[in-house]
Amino acid sequence: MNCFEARRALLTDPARLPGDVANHVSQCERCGRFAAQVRTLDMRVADAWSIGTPPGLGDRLKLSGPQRSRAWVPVMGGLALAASVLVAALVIGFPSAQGPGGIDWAASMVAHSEYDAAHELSADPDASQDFERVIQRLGGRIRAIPDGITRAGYCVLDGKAALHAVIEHAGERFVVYVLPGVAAQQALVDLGGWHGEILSGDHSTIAVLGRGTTDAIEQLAQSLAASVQWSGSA
Amino acid sequence: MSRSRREFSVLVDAYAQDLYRYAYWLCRDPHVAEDLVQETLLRAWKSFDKLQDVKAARSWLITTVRRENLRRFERYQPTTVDVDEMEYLPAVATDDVATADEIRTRLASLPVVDREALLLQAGYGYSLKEIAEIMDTTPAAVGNRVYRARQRLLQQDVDATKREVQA
Repeated sequence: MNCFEARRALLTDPARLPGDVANHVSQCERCGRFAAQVRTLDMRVADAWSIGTPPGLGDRLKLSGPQRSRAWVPVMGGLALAASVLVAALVIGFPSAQGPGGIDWAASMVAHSEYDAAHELSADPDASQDFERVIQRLGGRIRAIPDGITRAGYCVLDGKAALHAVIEHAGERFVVYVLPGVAAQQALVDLGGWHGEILSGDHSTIAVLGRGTTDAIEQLAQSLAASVQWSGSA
Repeated sequence: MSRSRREFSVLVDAYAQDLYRYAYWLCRDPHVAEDLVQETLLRAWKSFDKLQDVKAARSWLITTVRRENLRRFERYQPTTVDVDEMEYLPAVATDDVATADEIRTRLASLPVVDREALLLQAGYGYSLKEIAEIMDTTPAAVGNRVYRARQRLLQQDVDATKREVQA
């Protein structure tokens, strides 16, 4: 055992030093000092890792969990039949926005909007910049940033990265999702008190959901669809 | 409270904070981190019966967070994260704010896989073999990653000291 080998072991796994390395470190003053440096570094890394969690994280997760997944989990027998009837009753007269993977995007978006209600309520002065930044980082660009954006950020819907934004339009607040690379079936949404429209193109899906009147939804969805461009689209 | 709700509640109480921290360091965005934790816990809840071994459960959950994060980039290239995006960091859980901020900035400058391996070892106390299973690689590769990460961080300490002396 020499100092080089001891230092390599210290930098690789200081908490699990083999016996010969530990012996060397205890007898070699320089390696002893180096071991103390590494231990201090690891304590600082552990401190830096231990970030605070957002207030209410546990409560939000608990509220969201089982209800949301009940819509996804295939259920057997009579329960499956009951669930199908329920979903059919909720999505009155309109097709569900299922994509090729069988994902019910409308249900997923409504569940996510319910889950992230705080997103809808509070306004962020930097929301317009965030909207543009998220679109860019998702691989797109925006021709004209819509007016009235109060919140914008990333979210994950069924494993897909998406823009999740809130836009005030015609005196109402609408939740907007933009999913690049997802071709959901176009649909009108009437689910759990939410109304909306899902528009799908070759390169993305755009959804606008609201709780009030539906008059402005189509206008906003069309306007967004015309504004957002993806690499590879015309 | 139904059995499902109780089970999910147990999962959240036991793992949400740990998973959030890991998710945050993977994506460096608090909203995405929260989504990743939610997706992971929903998957865990569906497999609740398999999660009775606490140690194995945590590794399974960490691996799932990692996979959920990777799924975000199935079709898109991950963007390079700049140090100036540290604005998203939540409050620090230490009295030594300057040191924690400094080390976070340095951690952010490490290659992603090196940082992740070091955080799993120094933050969670995982062995090289356990980290290799989580990161789907070999213990030797993990050893190289944590070696590089520590070496670079210590070198930055030396550089900072030199700068202070020169000033």
